[in-house]
Amino acid sequence: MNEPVHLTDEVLNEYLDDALSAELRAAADDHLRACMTCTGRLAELSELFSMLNGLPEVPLERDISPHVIDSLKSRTRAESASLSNPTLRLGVVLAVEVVGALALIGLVWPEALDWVTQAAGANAMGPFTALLDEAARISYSLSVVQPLEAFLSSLRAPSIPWASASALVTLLSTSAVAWLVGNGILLRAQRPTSHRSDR
Amino acid sequence: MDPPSDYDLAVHARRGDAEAFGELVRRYQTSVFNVCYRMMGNRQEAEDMSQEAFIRAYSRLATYDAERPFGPWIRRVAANFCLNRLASKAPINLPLMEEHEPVHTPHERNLEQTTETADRARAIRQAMANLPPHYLAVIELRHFQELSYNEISHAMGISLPQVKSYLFRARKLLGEALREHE
Repeated sequence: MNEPVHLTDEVLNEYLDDALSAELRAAADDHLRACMTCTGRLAELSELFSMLNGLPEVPLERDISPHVIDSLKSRTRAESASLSNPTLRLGVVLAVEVVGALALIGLVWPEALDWVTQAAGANAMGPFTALLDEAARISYSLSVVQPLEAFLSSLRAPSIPWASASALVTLLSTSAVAWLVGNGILLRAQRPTSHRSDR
Repeated sequence: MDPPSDYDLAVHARRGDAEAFGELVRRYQTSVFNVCYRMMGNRQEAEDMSQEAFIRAYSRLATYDAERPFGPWIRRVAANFCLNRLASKAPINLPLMEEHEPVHTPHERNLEQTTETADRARAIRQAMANLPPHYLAVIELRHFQELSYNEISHAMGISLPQVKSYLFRARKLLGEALREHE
């Protein structure tokens, strides 16, 4: 003999939450009319719903609004004080500039390393000697009266790929702009502040 | 002169008017406190959480749609705040001591103490306090804030099947706890 198929707990939950589709709800209603077991389970769950929904609200013993308002006002004061404090602003600007400079050095560093490596070449004496050699070569070129070629040669050596050179120019331009902006902020921070009224 | 509407107060508060927000706090502090009390299970902690929830809500006023009622929004903020707090700390099941029970008005005292309601309410609160945080949150949002499954899913950032599963399991645990209590 087959066991009767009952409604699942999930279906009973969704039934009471009114979350079943119309079709499923009608099917559940049909089943509930014929099944005392499921009707009992539904009643039990329904009682839990009633208990939860009937849980009384409790009164708040004190008004918390003054504390909230005070917190908000002191927070606002602290924020505006921190923005108007010249020392703090100066510190922030300096910190930003230092971080920016370090970032720029970090960006340029691989290119600079390549440049030094190329300048050094196979010379075991290091990049400084290589630079001196380069200077001597340029001087020699000048002495044999090939000024234009020497000039061009000095531009080419040590060679910087055009793409890298453009990247360097971009970085230098960016740092210049950052420097100008930073100084602008500093000047504003040092300017005597007039008493403003918000009203 | 009519008192300012929630909409007006919210708009002023959004512009930085702390006093306007204070009026909203006065209007909704009891319901927010009850959200926190149901979820934290401890009166003092619930008061602290209510204050923090309002302060947090103030900084998030930009996300509030002033065309919608303020009450449900602030209660959802409080519920999420409590959920985060509960989820971030080790489970502490503070017993609901007598001093944690509310000091009722005479009318409420008559209602609760002269019937079995007080005992039943205490049992429900204790059973809720023993629920895992996410189960507690879905119970709060479904039964006390009357959100639909979809709204709960959106408010908690969980899937619809998870909402159903959490609700089903939470009710099962609550039912078992209340049967044990009887």
